[in-house]
Amino acid sequence: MPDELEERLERTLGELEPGADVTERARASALGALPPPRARSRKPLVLVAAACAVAFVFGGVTLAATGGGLPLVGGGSPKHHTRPTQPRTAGGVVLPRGAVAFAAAADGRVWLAASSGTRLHGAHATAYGLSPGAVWSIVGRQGRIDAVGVQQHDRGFSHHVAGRPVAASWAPAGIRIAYVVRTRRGNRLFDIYGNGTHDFPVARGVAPVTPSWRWDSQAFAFITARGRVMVHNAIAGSTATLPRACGLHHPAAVAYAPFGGLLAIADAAGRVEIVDTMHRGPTHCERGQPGSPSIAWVRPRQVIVGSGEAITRYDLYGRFAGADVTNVPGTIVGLVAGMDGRRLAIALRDAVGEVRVVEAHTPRFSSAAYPLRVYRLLLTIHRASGAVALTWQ
Amino acid sequence: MRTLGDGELVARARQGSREAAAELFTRHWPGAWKVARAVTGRRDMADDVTQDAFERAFAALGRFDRRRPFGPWLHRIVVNRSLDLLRSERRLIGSDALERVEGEWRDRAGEDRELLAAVTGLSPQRRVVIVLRYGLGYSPAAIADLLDLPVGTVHSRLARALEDLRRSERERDAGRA
Repeated sequence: MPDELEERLERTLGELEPGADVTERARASALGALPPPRARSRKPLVLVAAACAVAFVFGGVTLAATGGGLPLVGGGSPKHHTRPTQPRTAGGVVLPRGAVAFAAAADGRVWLAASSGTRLHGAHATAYGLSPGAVWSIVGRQGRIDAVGVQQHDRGFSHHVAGRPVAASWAPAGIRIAYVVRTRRGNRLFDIYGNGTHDFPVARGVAPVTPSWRWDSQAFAFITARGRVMVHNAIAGSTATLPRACGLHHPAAVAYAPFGGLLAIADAAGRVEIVDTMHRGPTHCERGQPGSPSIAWVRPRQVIVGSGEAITRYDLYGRFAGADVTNVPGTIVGLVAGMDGRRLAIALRDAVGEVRVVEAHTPRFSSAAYPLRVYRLLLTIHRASGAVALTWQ
Repeated sequence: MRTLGDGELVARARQGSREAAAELFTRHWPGAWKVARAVTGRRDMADDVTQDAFERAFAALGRFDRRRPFGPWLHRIVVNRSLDLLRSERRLIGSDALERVEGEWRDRAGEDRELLAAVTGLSPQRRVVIVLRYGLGYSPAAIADLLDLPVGTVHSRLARALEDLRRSERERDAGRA
């Protein structure tokens, strides 16, 4: 005879119900996972083989005509529009090709896939970053930042902070971490050694934007709450303000080039400034799409800025010096380039607020708008209101 | 289609019948999701765990032993996937289940929310047997079969879990008084 607690358990647990939208998506995904039916006789097998041969021949012709076999999304004619296949999201995010690790952080949660097999699925973290080679991760939570081994899950250090970490960036050499902490008196920026020692306060009153390290790990750029871009020399401990140029109202993203001293700065109005912080080269002023910007360098002199529903590529000194635009099927809320710059991961928010992170081919440089080629869906985040910070190692 | 048993539906789905597979999905999705939701304590994780479990189950229909019931096989996948994800998250980030429960059960009435929060506060092993017993109505013997445990272990985990829940209720009532 069940007692009162057991009856309440039966009633309460019995009333849990999934959402209708999730059910439909899962149904389509599950049916898509069904294996193909088994052949029963040789005759159908021969027919299937013949059909495959025909498809192969015509497919080859089609691929030759279109320049590749990748599904196309966005821009172009509607016949090229293909929705990416349903993701297997339960293991977390899908690892992009060639990546050692890939992470997405949004709304205090983080998703991670690593080639070592480590997976995180919506784990609680207010800031997240990966070290070079994804050996270590930096995990920010209220009141502390922790360095955690990605493969062995061992804890490198745990460091107390006076607030909530909101952004973290590991230096390319792995020796330092720049991180931003939200406190009652505003956001503060710190620079700590990769082993958890020597925690230096760098600046008060900074914007909650991920700092960007220079390739040599000797300096990083950040944005102040008042909209000034500053460069901190981590060796000398000095900080310099970059002069305003190109009429940027309030920079929202900064990113150093993979080599040299070029720094790309973008604001929400679509203005882009590319300044040489080391050799006093010419400053490039560009104008792209309005919207919250994300920046990714794909080559030492080619930078991509994603904002609104387009990504704009700027080629600074190459044969095709100029800019081109690629339309994307959604509002860009995050962007990162693969290590070789040939692939991108783009977080796209749709009209109902669902965010899809897709792996895409870095657009071929062209003066005409070109459709985005999507390889696959990496992750779906059902509810994410803010920007999605993507890390590709 | 409704009158067919799970075994027959599995056989048809193996032969390529999407209707049979869809019927299997319709029958078992709510229960499987319920298990994932209660074990993980999180709606978003339950959505993905259950979707993943169905994908795995359907992809492996060819290896499924039709003499055995489909539901427990699926629920076993769901339980294992849920525990795997919780375990990996705890290893890497640290356990903060109780911290999250407050936000995750906001869609429930007050008393239900407190009970669900208490269930989520149980250890994973005890949580699983509670959910299977009271959420899906499995007998202790069926739970033992599903989880590969001795029946006595299931009984003891159930008893200890219920005692934990009663204790948390007493503490809560005392706190209010």
